[in-house]
Amino acid sequence: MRKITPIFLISVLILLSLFCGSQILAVTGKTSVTPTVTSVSPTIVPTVVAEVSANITEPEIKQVRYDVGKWNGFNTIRILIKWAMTRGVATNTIVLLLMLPLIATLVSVLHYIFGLTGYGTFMPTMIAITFLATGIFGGLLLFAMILIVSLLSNLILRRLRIHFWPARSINLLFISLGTFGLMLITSFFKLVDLSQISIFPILFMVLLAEEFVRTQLVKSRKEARSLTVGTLILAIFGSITMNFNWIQNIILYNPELMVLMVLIINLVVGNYTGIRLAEFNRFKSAIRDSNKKK
Amino acid sequence: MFAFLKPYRQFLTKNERNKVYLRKNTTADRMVADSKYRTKKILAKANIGVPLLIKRFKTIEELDNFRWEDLEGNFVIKPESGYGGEGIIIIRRRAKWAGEWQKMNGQIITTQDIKLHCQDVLAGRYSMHGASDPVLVEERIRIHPMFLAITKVGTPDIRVIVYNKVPVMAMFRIPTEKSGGKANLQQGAVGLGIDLASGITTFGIEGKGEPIRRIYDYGKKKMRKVNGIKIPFWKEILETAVNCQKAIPGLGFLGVDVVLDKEKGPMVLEVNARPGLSIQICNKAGLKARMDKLEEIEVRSTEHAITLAKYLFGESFSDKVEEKEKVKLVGPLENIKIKTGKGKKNFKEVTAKIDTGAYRSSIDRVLAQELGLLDENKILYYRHYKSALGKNNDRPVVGLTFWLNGRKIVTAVNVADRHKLRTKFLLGRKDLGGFLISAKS
Repeated sequence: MRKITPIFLISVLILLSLFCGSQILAVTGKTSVTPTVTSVSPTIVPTVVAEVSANITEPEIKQVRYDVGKWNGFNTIRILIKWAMTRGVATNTIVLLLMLPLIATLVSVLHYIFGLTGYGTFMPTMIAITFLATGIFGGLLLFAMILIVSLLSNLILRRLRIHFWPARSINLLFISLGTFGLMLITSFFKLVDLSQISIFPILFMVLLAEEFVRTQLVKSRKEARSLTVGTLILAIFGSITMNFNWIQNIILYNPELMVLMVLIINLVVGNYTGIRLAEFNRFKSAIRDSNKKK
Repeated sequence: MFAFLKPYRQFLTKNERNKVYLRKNTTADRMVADSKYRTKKILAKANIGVPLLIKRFKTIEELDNFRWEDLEGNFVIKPESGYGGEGIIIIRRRAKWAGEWQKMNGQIITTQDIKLHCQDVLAGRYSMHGASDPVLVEERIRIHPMFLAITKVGTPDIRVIVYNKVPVMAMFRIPTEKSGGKANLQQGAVGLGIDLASGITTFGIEGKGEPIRRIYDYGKKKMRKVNGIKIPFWKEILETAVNCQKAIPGLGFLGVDVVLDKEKGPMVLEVNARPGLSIQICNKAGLKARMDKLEEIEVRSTEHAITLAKYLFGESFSDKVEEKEKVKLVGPLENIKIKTGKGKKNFKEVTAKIDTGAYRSSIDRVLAQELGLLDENKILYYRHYKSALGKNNDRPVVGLTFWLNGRKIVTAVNVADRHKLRTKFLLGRKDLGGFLISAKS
């Protein structure tokens, strides 16, 4: 018990200082920064998407002509999209939604043929969307912050020897405070501004950081590192793909083509039992000299 | 164009393991493998050595009611479905004061700490998806003294991959400081490939693929080569592995982790329904090529399975020869000594004809009969052959050990009718690796 108390005190102090500090900032900023506060709250409600693919999917696209012609079986999805648009569904949401399977396909191709590994297909896809919202650099910054806070708080929490779930809750507390601090700090910079992001990118990043901590506990640090870096790389590929104008256009104007592509690519990759590119490197040292000469 | 792919064909790749070989494992038996408790129950029933279970906690109440002070020490606490050796505490003995225990590295741990750890396990800290996981308290295995010379931390074990009831590959896994005492290659442990025929180590890797040539010997306090370490109880270890698959038949492709106890011999800690692929790197051999050989072979008994492993997958001499060593010369006709019993004195000398046109060596049926090779237990399998004259026949393939020019060769040869021919033994190119053939006799 004697060993625990100073650490406990320190952590309480850190907590208090963080709490008070942010409160003071909030109080001082209350009068001057009110407009930003009000502008933040509405973005929590709508999806990430609204400001994401601003380049093509801003509201004005609705006024752009979306010709589908008569129904001939091959343009069913286009007709449905047009209908949804007239009913007021945001175009960018439709594009992003239909893009999800495409990104997941990209992730599975990179995994089964190139050997890049992350946390499944869903996690990289999610992080890719996060990158769209925050920008790749901003997203990495956010993730780095969450991870560092997570690891530091784990270091302290391990010494406290408390139950597992309460420990996770305290960890989340640190993450929330840290993210809040980061949003505040970056709002002063032009280069990366994370002050306007909604809650979802933050949640996804917290999820990834949690997964990292968990893998580190259950498997090993090396494994956790390679899986997390892999997820981020896959996500970067995904978000670059999502940012391509022509891909967004294919999805909006030829969604049937996208469906066909996703089906064909996944059936081909799904039946691939050959070697992954990364495995050449792995098995290189396992080839005996006598075989090499052949 | 794809010639560079050829040396890679022998390997089992991740895609193929997942898509082809893991399908051979039924969901029900995969769940058995995931639970150390159920594995232990099934294996114990099949008379396979497993560490004795002292207690299993499913709830906090059971944990609270357990009288730790009744234990004498020498126990292990592990999560039932833990992965990669995480969450395991090994207690050596009681410490000086009541309520305190000594771990393997001499650290002191209190009963309170042990209870808290058990609660963590119950809360699902060490299970993959955070689900509640029972705690197992079992008897500690006393490591075989031979292993103590190689590691100071953790328990080294032997991973045997069994497919179609035959051991196909094995490795010796040594925990290191880096791996945190875990015998898991993913965590940075050292893996040494093992020759299935002799139980002697061959090559080594650290982690998932870094080749190493030397490891530290704590007994002699210096580095030693990774090859040439003889694993004791080798035959028993292979038998245990084969019996595990017989006990859990739903796992057609599995890895068995065997530990050697000082007194009780081979003990199975757990079986793995998704064995890793790095074993191929420390053996410098492909699982795929080996498993292909086993397709359509019907394994008759444990004995037969081990004979198959020995003669089909044993290291050939040419691979053991260091590059510096001189290549030996053989003439068109050579006298070979065929092993007929234990020891170096039991052999029969036979004249053999060298024939590089044949892949496998063959032995005359009458001679094989004389040597007792056509025993039902010694025949590895029957294979369809096409002779040079275009005649088709089914020939038995038998395991054979012989000496050629002083080199011991362990191999599989086929039995053929050579009674009209002068030489009763034909040496194929498979067994001529490391020899140079001279046309002059």
